[in-house]
Amino acid sequence: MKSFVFKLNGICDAVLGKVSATPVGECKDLTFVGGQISELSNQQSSNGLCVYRVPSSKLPLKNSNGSSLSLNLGDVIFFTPSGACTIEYESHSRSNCILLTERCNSNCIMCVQPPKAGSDRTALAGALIELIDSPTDCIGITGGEPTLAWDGLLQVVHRCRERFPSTEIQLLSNARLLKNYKKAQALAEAGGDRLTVCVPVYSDISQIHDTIVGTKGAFWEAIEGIYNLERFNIPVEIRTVVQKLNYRRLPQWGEFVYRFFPFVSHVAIMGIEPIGLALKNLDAVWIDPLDYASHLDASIRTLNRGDLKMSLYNYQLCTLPRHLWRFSMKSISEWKNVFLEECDRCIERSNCAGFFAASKNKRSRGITAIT
Amino acid sequence: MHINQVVKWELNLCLLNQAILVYSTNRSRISLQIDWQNTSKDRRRHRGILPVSNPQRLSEGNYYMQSEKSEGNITIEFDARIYSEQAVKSAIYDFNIAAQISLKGDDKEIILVILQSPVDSRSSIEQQIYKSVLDHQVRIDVEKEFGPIRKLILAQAFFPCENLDQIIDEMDL
Amino acid sequence: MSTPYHFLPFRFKRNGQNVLLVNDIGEFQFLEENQFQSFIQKRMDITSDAFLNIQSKHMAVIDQISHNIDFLATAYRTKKRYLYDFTSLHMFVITHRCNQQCTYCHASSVGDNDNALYDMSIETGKRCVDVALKSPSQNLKFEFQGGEPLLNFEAIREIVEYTKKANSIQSRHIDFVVCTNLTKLTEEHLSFLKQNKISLSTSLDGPKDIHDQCRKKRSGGGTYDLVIKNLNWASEYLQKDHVSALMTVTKSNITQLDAVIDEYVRAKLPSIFLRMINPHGAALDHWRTVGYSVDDFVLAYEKALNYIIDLNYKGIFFVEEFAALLLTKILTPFSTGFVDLQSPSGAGLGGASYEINGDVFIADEARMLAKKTNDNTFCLGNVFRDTYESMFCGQKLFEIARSTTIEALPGCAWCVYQPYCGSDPIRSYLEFGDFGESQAKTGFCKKNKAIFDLLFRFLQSNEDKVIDVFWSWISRRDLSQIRLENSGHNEEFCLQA
Repeated sequence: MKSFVFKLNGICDAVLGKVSATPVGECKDLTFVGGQISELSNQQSSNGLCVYRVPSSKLPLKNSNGSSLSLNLGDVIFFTPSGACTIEYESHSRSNCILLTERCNSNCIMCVQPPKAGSDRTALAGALIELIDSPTDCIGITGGEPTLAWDGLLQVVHRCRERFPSTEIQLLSNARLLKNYKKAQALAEAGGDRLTVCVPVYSDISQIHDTIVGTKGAFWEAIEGIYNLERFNIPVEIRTVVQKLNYRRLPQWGEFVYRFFPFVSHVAIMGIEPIGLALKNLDAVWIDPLDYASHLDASIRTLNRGDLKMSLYNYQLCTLPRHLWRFSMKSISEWKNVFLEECDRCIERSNCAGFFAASKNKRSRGITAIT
Repeated sequence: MHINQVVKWELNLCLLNQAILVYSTNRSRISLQIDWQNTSKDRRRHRGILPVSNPQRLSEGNYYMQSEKSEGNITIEFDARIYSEQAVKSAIYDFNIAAQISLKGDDKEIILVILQSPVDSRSSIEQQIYKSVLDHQVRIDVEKEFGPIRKLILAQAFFPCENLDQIIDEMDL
Repeated sequence: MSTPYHFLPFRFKRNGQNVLLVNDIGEFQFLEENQFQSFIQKRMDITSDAFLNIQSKHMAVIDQISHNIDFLATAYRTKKRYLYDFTSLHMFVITHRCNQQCTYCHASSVGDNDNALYDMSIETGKRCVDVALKSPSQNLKFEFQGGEPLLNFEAIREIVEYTKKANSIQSRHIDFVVCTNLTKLTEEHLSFLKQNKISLSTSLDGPKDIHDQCRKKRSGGGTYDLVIKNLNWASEYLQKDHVSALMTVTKSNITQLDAVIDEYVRAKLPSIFLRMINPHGAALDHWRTVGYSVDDFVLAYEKALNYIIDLNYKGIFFVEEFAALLLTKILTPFSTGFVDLQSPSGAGLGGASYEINGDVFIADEARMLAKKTNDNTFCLGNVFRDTYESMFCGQKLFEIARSTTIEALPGCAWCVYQPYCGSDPIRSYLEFGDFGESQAKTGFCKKNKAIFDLLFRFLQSNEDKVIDVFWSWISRRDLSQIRLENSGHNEEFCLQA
């Protein structure tokens, strides 16, 4: 999520606010004084979150370092007393994600959102769902591991489906807890036909997958979870992040996915985002896409032969063989999507996913403008 | 496998002779009855047990087998500590040849007599039989290990059970 | 005893310098001889690529066995999916009358004079539909055969209408096919077929000189010109892919299969099924003129298959159906509905043949056997006398199923191709007098083994060029799509993270 720091005055507790032009229910007004937000009165609601509105007449705001922040009507912002704020929901974006918890039951070597102990954000998520004005195409639910906040997850999924029957819900989960048949059943009931679950399977070999996720037994639990989801007809997407430990067996992984998960609605092959634990473990994780081009090609050919739908996420077109460009998606959120100076000369710039802001830490040696 | 049931095998060996092989198993020995058929026009049948030449002691070769040719037959011996009758029978089944199998030396040796194979194909059929019996013995040996697993897979496929872990522990695989 | 790894079920066969391994669910791989030796002697290094490949193909395991068992059980169940559908193919012999007298015809039909004795009555037809609809399958296929079915078109019409009515509540998906020689085709027929989305299946033996050699009118003379004319007419009239043809390889065309294939391409047919001739019926009587050895067939088949693959390289999408079927069994995790190659056999379990008097047989060959020799071994009963339960859940079908489960037959049990193969009980009965126990000794087995050998030679070479063609057949997609040739960018939406 887009986060920024804002100088706040007189806010004692965390606040979830929506940018709106008109009064909404019982909310209080926040006014801006000299580019700062302060509250008129401090009233708590029972769950500790207050719902405020930020008058749109005061837009655009400037954040503390002076750069302007574009907010739109319907955006939902989470303010904390320290001034650290996040835009939880962008009404003009087609992709929005709800971070349900930062806890996780795995310990992936390339994790971009390292697990943090502590309480879940289920109350915030619940309030967020209520604040959203109009639905987007797709809402993601992420973490940590969202299934750890089980009751909150069911609630959010159910409520989202109730309020926005046309919105797709994409749950990013390792599916390990879904090896429990009843849990899978409950999730299916909550999600109906709106839910897709994206599950990472990093290798065809159990011990390689377990090494990557830092947990023994995770491989078989994930597979059981995926099969349970299929039993309830919940569409499953299988993902992998190509890295040093698993790139060599990418073709065999493709074969494995086709043979044993031919029912998946989508397969996503992802490049590394060098942030968080991926950055910390960069030497153990990083592999240049140029070095696995043939493996990637073989894997995609296998999946294509089996008529599976697939995509490449987080790849720059110059690092991919041309015949694979059709699978490359613009998968990087706008707020952390950057391009290089080099890219201004590139004819494929508009079709390219570009870079993560964090890629300044590590990039492919094959980056070059396509002319 | 149904090898151990009473099976009627009809084998066609070569242009000159035909033999009908009927065998039954009992606990310690395989006894064979062999019916000979001549290709003469009136096709007389007579019964008889084929003479088997004296097998020599086993030599320590790679295959633990020895072969000897006499009276148009080929005799091959197999060390019964390594090769099972099952392996030899399976090889015969695959090759579709007339043969006699018996045990000797307190069940320490398996004697295989291949009947009347044409002269020019003898050495090649011996080699093929050696290889085939070896392979069949490998199959039998690995089947000992994964046989129960195969049965479990089939059982789980059509009658899945919740306590698979418990069953496997009890089976001590 | 602690070992570095445990075996999971597999079969093997030596193939020159390599060893082919296949597991119970059809995954396969090739090992070099020394790798195979070290694998079976438990000396293989479990960190080596070779071992990881074996582990990936589920032939060895180093962690908990129970996970693998459940996992493989799911895959095995998928391979035997056709059992859950039970009898899906129902073949109605609408009439024994035929206006042709093909030399190899195994339907051994009578003349086309209007004699109702040789037709299936409408009452019998309806009764057969009642029995067929008792089958639990959600997807059914009703095939009208003969003789020449179009000679008794009224029965077809009535049966189709009756089926639609009977199916109106459950609304199961039912495909109809008419197997015809096309010489009696009329506008009325085509109109009805189109209205009810019924497919046509015909026989085309090759170019005129080959086709007319065997497929003659009862009154004399060839049928090629009329067949081609009506084939084009039907192809234009009916929906796409609703007209198909197959052929029987006979002595007259076995050395000229490429000419036959060219003819099919010219007639704009999308595929051919190179069927080996069955020694039944009239074919057996005329064996000298139409028959050939299994070895001859295999040689001709290999040549023809290579010819068809070359056509595909040249951009012509054309499928050899038998190869496509075997490749589906080898390369995909799915089961197939081809009743002639299943274990237990699809005869009875997968498909049934209804004689004009309502006798139910496990397959058309079984019906022919009864007609020719009065041998009712494979008759399950009669739709008027017996209940569905006694016919399809009775002791006879159970015995046939048990005898045709090749996992337990000598020769088949250890054959490396067993997971892909199946059993033909009637062939085994004709050659050896049993229900299938001697499967491994039949000509059927010999042919299948040879064709598997051929296909695995291609698979071992692992050349993208030919594997792509195979996949285009399996998935019925254009070769350029498989090869990722047409370019473009992805306009679809994905959730950004």
